Formats: sequence, structure tokens, C-alpha cells
Amino acid sequence: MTDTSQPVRAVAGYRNSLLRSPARAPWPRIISPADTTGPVFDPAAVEPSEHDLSVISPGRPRAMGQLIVITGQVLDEDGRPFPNALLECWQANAAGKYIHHNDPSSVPVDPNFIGVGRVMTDAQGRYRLRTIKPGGYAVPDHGEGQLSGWWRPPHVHFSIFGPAFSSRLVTQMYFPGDPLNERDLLLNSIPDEAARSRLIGRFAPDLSTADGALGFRHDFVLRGRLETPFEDDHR
Amino acid sequence: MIPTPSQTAGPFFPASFIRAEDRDLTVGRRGEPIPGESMELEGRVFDALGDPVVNAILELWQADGAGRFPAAADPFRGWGRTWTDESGRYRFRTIKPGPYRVPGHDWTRPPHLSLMVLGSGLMRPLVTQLFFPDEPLNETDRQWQAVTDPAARRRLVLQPVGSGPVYRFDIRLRGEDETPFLVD
Repeated sequence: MTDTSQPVRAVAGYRNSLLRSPARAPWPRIISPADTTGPVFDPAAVEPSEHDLSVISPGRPRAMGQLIVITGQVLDEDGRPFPNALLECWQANAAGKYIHHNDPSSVPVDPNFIGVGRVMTDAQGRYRLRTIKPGGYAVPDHGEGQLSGWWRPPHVHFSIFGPAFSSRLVTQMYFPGDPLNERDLLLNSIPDEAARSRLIGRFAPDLSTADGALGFRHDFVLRGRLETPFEDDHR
Repeated sequence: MIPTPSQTAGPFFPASFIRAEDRDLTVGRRGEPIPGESMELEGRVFDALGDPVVNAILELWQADGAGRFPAAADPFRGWGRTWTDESGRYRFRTIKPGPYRVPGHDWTRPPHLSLMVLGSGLMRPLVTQLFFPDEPLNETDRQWQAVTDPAARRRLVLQPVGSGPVYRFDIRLRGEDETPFLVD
């Protein structure tokens, strides 16, 4: 049965997905330790400053754009928090430009913004990022530098390592109320509306900061269930 | 709770997330050499037209030479990441994994490498397992057996290159001879 809470692999109008997604249905995965174990990252290897994308280094001017805070929890399918989950994130600047050799657009670069961050979840599975709201951008057509008529809505890319190789998640977070959300090929490649809404951050005025950052809440639910290793300790 | 839906990593995955040590698993967490039989894994990634796929992100996960998946304190990281160059080529240096017994089962897994492919056009991660040639344990492995088409199964076997401990694994994302991928 098709899982309508995950995107289709071949998305009409998205050329790379048509050329790169397997035609054959995947073979069964027989769960073994290769799937239930996963890489462990040292929390000390992530600098606290990496959670703040709005400033490249102390003393440098803040990036252009609307300052935002994104915070939430990384959970398992039973709603239990995952501590020490590594989150990697990347995004365009406020004008919709990536600092990346693959971004050919003439949209201006912000010298005070790289758009790359990392953070590890705490004991309650919580994370917090500070950044600027990314801009949307027109997706170039392949070849002549024409526009394809497809605009990406503002979004932040996330890559998350949970406790197992099979709980790996690579996804994107969108912003509530953006008219481009309804037209985006990638967001709308998820057939189920309730699942789609899981990718849209929630505006959270209570998280706004004294220096003018707007708050958004966004939780991630990784596949799999945590074991309860402490239950045997009630001796 | 519904798991968060996957989305493509897109074409702008940051180069800074791929560190030099991520493609050499023979070096431990603190720079120490990892015991075992070192080997190279190399290959190319192709799309439906047979064109090389540039900037495909490959993540490797594996047991050590004794068939043990690493925990936090272990020098061996067991995990690596790299991406393909302009010709679609990738390369890892690692330790040949050992076989291991699956706890609670009468099942011994042959040496194998788990590989995940991410990148532009891939709405969900692609996951597969790579097996070594001439391993008697392959035939009794449940994952091996689950790929019921013998031709597909053959495409999961690493190809030895030359005389050195070098193996090739080309990935065809779509097409006649497409790489068998597992449920993600």
C-alpha cells in the first residue's frame, strides 16, 4: 500500500525527480542491527555558535532580513523525545539566494549570511535556531536560463540523525500563510494534507525576543520507536 | 504520531557538511588508526539517461572488522559521507566489515555496507545494502533472499577492481539495470 504521508518519488514538472527516482518499487527491508543502530555524534563537536545563522562570527553585522527563532522537539513515533539528535540546516538568504556553487541566480548575496547551521537536541529532545527568514525564489528552467514558472516558497532545509540508520530524516520546513506553499511542487508531492501540514512551522508570538526575532515552533517526528532502557532500573 | 514527511535535500547541500575525515573511516574519532582490513569503495552514480549525477550525497553505515556496530565511545565511527564529483564519481576508504549474528535469531549476516543516497530529485532517501563477492553467508542472508530477482541481487555485489582491496559499486538510479533499493 502506498504511504500517502510521504511524498511521491516522481514529481510531474520536477525534472531531476523524473530522471533520478527508481522506477521499480523498493524491495522489502529485513530489519537487522544495520537498521536499528546508527551513527553517534559527539555533542562537543558542535559549537554553540552554530545554532545562530544570523551572525557569521561575533562582532560581524547581523544578516539582512527578518530575524526569526525556530524551536521545537525531535520525537519518536510515540512522542518520546530524542536527546542528542544532530540537526543540520541550510537555507537561502532573505532575497532567496544560496551561498552555493550550484546557485546560478543573479539574486544578490548578503556578505553577512552563509545560511548553514548545526545544533544538537538537549535531554528533552529540544533544539533552538536563530536565523533570518529566507526569501522565496524562482526556479530556473533547465537550459536557456528561462524561468520555469515554479517558485519555491520560503523554506529551511533540515537533515536529522536520530538513534538509528532507519530514522534518518531529510526534510524542509515551510512558513505558515505563504501563498507559494499551495503551488509548490515539492510540498504538494505529499498526497495527505495532514502530513503536508507537518512541514509548516507554527507562528509562535510568545517566542518573540526583545531584539525583534519572530518565533516559530516546529517539531520533527522520526520513524521508529525508542526503547525504554530505564524500565528495568526500578529495583 | 505521523512521521515527518521527507523532502529532497535539493541541489544546495552545504559543502561544509562534508568533511575530509567523513570519507575515510579507517581513521578513528580521535585520529587513531582503526584495526582491520582496509579497503576502498568507489563508483559512479548515473540517472535514467545514463548521465552522471553530480552532487549526489552518499552516506555509509557499517559494522567494524569484528562485526560490531559502533557506540558513542568507540574509536570506529562506522559512518561516512561524501558526494559525487562532475563525473558522478565517489570514493570512500574504510575497513571491511565482519559478519555478525543477529541477536535473538538464528541468522548470521554476511559482511555488508549500508548506503543511503540523497540529493536533488530524490524526494525520499534511497537505501541499499552492498554485499561482497564469494561470501557463502550471502545465500542464507534474509535481506539477500528478500531481493528475489537473481539479476537484481547480482547488482548488489561489489566488483573487485585490480588486485588491491578496491571495490566498485556503480549506482543506476533509474532504468533497465537500476540498482535495487530497499524500503526506506
